[in-house]
Amino acid sequence: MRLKLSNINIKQTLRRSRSLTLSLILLITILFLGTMASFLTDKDPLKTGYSTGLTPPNSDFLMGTDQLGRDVFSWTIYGVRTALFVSVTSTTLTVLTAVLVGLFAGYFGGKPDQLLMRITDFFLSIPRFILIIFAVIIFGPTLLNIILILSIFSWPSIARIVRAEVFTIKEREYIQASRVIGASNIDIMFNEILPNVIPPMLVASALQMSDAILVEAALSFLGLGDPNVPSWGRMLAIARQAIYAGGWWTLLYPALFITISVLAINLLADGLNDILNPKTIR
Amino acid sequence: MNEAAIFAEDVKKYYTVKVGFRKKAEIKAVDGISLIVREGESHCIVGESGSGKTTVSKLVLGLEPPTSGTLKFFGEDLKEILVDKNKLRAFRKSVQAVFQDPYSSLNPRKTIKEILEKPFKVHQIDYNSSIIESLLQDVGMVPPQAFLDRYVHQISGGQRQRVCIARALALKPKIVTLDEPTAALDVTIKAQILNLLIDLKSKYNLTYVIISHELPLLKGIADKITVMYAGKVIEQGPAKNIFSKPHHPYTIGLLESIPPPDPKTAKEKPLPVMEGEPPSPVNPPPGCRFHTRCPFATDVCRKEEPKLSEVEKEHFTACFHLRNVVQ
Repeated sequence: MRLKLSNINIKQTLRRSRSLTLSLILLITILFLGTMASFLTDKDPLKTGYSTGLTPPNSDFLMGTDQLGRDVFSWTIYGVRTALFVSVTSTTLTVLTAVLVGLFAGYFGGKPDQLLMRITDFFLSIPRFILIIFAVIIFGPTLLNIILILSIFSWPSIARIVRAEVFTIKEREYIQASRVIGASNIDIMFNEILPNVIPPMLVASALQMSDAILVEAALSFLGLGDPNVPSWGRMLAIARQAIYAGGWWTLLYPALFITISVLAINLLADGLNDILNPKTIR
Repeated sequence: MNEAAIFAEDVKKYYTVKVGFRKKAEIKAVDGISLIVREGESHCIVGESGSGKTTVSKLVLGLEPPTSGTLKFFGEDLKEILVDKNKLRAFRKSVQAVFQDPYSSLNPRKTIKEILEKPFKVHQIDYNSSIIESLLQDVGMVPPQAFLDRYVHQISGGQRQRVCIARALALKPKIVTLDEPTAALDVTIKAQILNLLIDLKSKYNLTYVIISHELPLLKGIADKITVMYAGKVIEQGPAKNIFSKPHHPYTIGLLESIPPPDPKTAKEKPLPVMEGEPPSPVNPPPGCRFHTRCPFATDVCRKEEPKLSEVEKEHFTACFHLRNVVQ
């Protein structure tokens, strides 16, 4: 699978796709804050007692501190790492599984397809978030567990999208033409069908990425996140108490970062769909 | 005597479909056809939609094995070819196809160059850009360099069909099946593509199996014609004979349902219409399958199935009422 980015005029694409431009600006900002976190602040996000009690934003604490004296700015920008790490790794796992299962089921059809689809039905028929909560409680709230559990419970819906696409594509005449040429099943699946599945899958996987950020935040909010990493969701849980004492900054900044990152990723999906569709390349 | 390029004897292809819960039905897509295609010939298979033409092309391409009957390519049985990897590889090289719809027979995510490189890659044959360019040149796409990096949606329907033909020729095949090669094209382009096919046939020493329902277009290219109706052959013979002296009422109907080219005569003489629709392949009528629509049908036709009989040299027809019909 080769994505042809070489024959795309970057300037033109950016001018045409506003969503892509905006998403890149937002993403680059977030990524910059996340990767540069250790240079931007000398404060340990998890360490308490930088100040005595809730402190509003000032020159020393850009986003203030919470009631235990933790620096919200440091927490928020280190939180970028947690959020993106969880979302990127779990989405990669999810999409890889979904593509393999969807391609296999859709291409071969018949019994294997039936079996795989019943498995996805099983996953899809139970509310996912509740399953995830149970699994995290059983296996323990470590970052690795959260990533694995998220992937295990997320691949079925994307696998369905892939399968449905493969079903229609495999009936096209160019697939028959490849078979007449003598191409093997694997060759047809990965070189002829897969490139055509990418656009709908990209949209689905971007949604998956932003969904993963939200689920991780929700888990941390409920106290089921990894306690050893700074997570936006946990800061929101802290804000629940702080807000009564007027500590709006503990709520605003993590919430803002969740919103911006989810928005940026969704816009990216839109933009990528524009670029990768050869019909829009002129 | 050299072996026939394609030899088919009583080939049948049935598909099982589920109808309702636990019930199954058989679709008799091809119900016992025989034909011989000699090397260098253009053999046309004609019939309405649903007559089994496309199934024949799938069988000839070895995409599906026949349910029963013998299908041989240059003396080798398809059943043996399909189980032997090396034979199958050689077979895939020697039998190629051009499909009906040039819009869906090229992958929209590939450039023309990638599409034409594919056959070489699959068969691990060395190629270079000049081979690809000469292929494009042969199918009349000049200058070839202008097309290499284009995507399918950036070229016209006729050009797409040319690319399909180029892809089919890449492996220097012996047999090419053409499944309604001109059905999706404009009238002016149809003629161009047909002429191109005629030229390429002698240049590449090809044997054509042409599947079509457009009889008049085949006049210039066909050597032999097989007329199919509801999975059966009802008339078969040299193209000249069939055009000048068709014997089966269905063939006559097919030939007459073509509008005359002169608009004056077209207005004076209303087009004879063949009533009715072809029968369902799940449950074909007993006796002659055409009797439901045939103006000459009698009791015999409803009970017994007519066999192919030789009416002239190498010209076969399956009908009980040949004398009446010809008059």
